[in-house]
Amino acid sequence: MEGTQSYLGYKILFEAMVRFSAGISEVKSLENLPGEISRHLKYLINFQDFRFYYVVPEGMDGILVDKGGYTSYEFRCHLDPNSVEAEVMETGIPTQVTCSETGHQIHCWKFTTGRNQDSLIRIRSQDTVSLAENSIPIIKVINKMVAARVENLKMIDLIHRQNQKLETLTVSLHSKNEEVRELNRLQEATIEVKTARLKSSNSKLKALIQFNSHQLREPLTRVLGMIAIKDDIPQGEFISDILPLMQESVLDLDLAVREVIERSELLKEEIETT
Amino acid sequence: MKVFLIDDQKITNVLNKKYLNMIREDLVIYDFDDPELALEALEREKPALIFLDLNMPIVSGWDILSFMRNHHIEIPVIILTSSNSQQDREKATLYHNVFSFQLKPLTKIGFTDLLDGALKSGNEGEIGSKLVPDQNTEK
Repeated sequence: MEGTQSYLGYKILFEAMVRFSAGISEVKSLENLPGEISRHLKYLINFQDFRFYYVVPEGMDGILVDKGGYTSYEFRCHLDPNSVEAEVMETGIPTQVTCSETGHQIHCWKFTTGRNQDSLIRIRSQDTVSLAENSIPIIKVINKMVAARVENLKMIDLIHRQNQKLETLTVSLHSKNEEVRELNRLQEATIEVKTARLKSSNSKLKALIQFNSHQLREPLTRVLGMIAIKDDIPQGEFISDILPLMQESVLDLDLAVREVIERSELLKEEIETT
Repeated sequence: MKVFLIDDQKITNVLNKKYLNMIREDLVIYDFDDPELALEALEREKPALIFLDLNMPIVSGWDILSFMRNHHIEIPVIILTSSNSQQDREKATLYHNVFSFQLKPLTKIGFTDLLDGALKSGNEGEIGSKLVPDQNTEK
């Protein structure tokens, strides 16, 4: 009869443990962890309130669960130096005291993993016997599960934050890339404009050279030709046939010289502004 | 002997005509200040020699040279231009009937030398014989 009862008790305990384990492994954030612990813990141990401290060199986090359903997760919490927890944290010796006001038992254990991570469990309970003796393996398993889950969630959190940083960096890199591309585009546009201006100046320069070579020299050759023939023909013929045409050619020459000056100045301005 | 003077500046044609008449008495000189009229007259008159300006509006000297090439008109041409552009000189060598490239203004001495040169090469080439059909009239 007693054997059946202990088998039944074991089965219930096993079931409760599986639910506890499955429950907390489903939790997606540290803030939701105490609630999930509260949901399952009452089937595992007899407690008034339960505290779990996760201790790493960077600091300590605390989980608080009480029988009434109040839960909280505290980041970067501190222990009251006069508390039982502070004492156990320092000595590492499991302690059991009786609360002078309520008569409740306060149990406290420290667990060390050797990986720079410690944890502390404090349970206030009306139970005077089982916590001190029978429940120790359960407390150890609870500690392992909760500590592993906290570590895991913290890791996920860290990865999340690093991902976010990376995303921010990627976004800013993208915008920088876009800026660089924009600068390149501007640069290319400037080069195109300058090249076009240079080409235009160049063709105008060529046109000016062509003009100098033809239009400027043409009226000059007429004048030179008229002067040259002066000694080859009778003076009367020169005066009647040639001289009247001289003025027209000289005027043409003057026009051409003016145009050369005008074109040169325009071109000079254009080249200077390029 | 028929000679064409093609230059859009009338005065240049006047001067050149006076020089040519001084040097040779047997020349029948046609002067054109409108190159289009010269084009029309080319096949009809069939001159023995053409003095050609290059830089003319509407129809240029190059246009006339191309016209002659396209119509297989083989008349010797002396280019008379005010430009000393190397580019023009090189382009002129592409027309095999251009046998001289002269810079304006061409004076009496210039015309005499030019016709003398043409005369000397005349014993060997067709152009010379066309240019100087009668040696006695040469001054």
